[in-house]
Amino acid sequence: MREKNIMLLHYITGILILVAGGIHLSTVFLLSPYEESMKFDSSPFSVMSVYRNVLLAGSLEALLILVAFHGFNGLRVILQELHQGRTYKKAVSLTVTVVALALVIYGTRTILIAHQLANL
Amino acid sequence: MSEVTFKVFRYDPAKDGGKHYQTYKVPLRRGMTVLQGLLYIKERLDPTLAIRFSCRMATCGSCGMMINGLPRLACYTLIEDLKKRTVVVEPLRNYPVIRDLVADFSEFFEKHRWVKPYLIRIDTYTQEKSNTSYLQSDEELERYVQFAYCIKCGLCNAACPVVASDKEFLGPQALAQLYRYLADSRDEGTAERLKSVADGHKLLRCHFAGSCSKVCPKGVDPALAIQLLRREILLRA
Amino acid sequence: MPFRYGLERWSYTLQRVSGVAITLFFVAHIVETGNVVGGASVWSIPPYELAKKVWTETEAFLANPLFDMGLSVLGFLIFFHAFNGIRLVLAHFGIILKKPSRPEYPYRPGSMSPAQRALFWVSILLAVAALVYALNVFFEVLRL
Repeated sequence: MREKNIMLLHYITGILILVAGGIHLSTVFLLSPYEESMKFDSSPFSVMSVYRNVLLAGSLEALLILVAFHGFNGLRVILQELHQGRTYKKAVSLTVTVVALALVIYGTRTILIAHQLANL
Repeated sequence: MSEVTFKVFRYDPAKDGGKHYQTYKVPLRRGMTVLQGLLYIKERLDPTLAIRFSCRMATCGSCGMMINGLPRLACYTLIEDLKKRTVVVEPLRNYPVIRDLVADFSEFFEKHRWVKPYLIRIDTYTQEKSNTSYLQSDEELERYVQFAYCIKCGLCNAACPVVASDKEFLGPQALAQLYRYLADSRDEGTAERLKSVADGHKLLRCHFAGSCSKVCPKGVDPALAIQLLRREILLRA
Repeated sequence: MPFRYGLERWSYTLQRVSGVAITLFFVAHIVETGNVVGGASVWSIPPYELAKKVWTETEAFLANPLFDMGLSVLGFLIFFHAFNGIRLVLAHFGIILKKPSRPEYPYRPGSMSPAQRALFWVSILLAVAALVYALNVFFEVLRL
């Protein structure tokens, strides 16, 4: 992908993270006291309650994908600025993509399992 | 009458290749510039000191060097303004050193040439052979004239944190000149200029650290040019 | 060390440092929450009691004041990175910068516009507010 398109995506994901991250931080810190949010299942915004709700679980999934892209693209930019060279550049891009993808897959697994577990 | 201590970076690849600082005591006159101090050293104390200078009035761009840690023009910096008893003078950062305070500007000029710093017209015959002049209104002039004041002194490239580590980045000077020709209403090479920097590290590795505009001695503000150029790339090309 | 290049250089440094810190936290967070439903080897629904047990153990492990302090600092970094990021998007598109004009001595660069600098201080302010809020949640410093 051309670098300018990657940069545009970086800006767009950044702005979307404001929304999804805002939702996540609100459910943990604002909409209910921190002690209640840290409970496993016994309060309206506890861990399992958030996963139970399709919309909230969906926003967590969105946050996962957006942060993985934005954060690892940022790391790629920083690493590729420190040293140049064709093999180094390809190695950094590949490693960053693989790690980000692995995290997204692992996180999606967590969200799916937790959602199903909560709705049993 | 007081004195000031000059700590000058010395390096001679022809002799021994060792890098060290040499101290000189220079008598201070009111309104004395760093360049005058260095010339005093060269005339009275140590003729082997190598420096580059020409106009003495901040218009040729030759005497750029790191003075007390910041890139400045030696002819434009008053010793009194530094407010220190010791003046540390080093060659410009991010450039290879030829000898003592003289930096190698060949890569700098290569990057400048790469951005095609001249008007590109589709009809080259009219440009080269005929007698017509291109009309330009005051508003069209204001869009780019600030960036035309560049004296190619290279202080911006010395200040930029990206130029320090990224060899593919064009640097604030070349990018500001690219925008100067892009925004010029007489230029018709917009598409090719935009395409040349839309990919890769050339433009998009600028992170708006703004150090270039802070050190520019002529108020060219390359940071502004680069952000305006980025806007064109992201929204158009 | 580049200390005297102005506000925008500080913003660049802090934005990078906070970005790397947040990404590292993100990795730790995904791994930690993934553990609750059974770790990397589990791909089907585990028993409810196991998840509850792992969660209680994790919570006990994280009840350390060191982690609470770390989360508060992270709150500062996240809020700074977010609002400074908004400022950067606006600046990168030239929106909050001044228009090019003829340079008059003393040169005040249009890119160092008051609007853009004000947004930097707003980001710092909001980040400090987030830090204080987080410290209050964990350590009740304000007794609100």
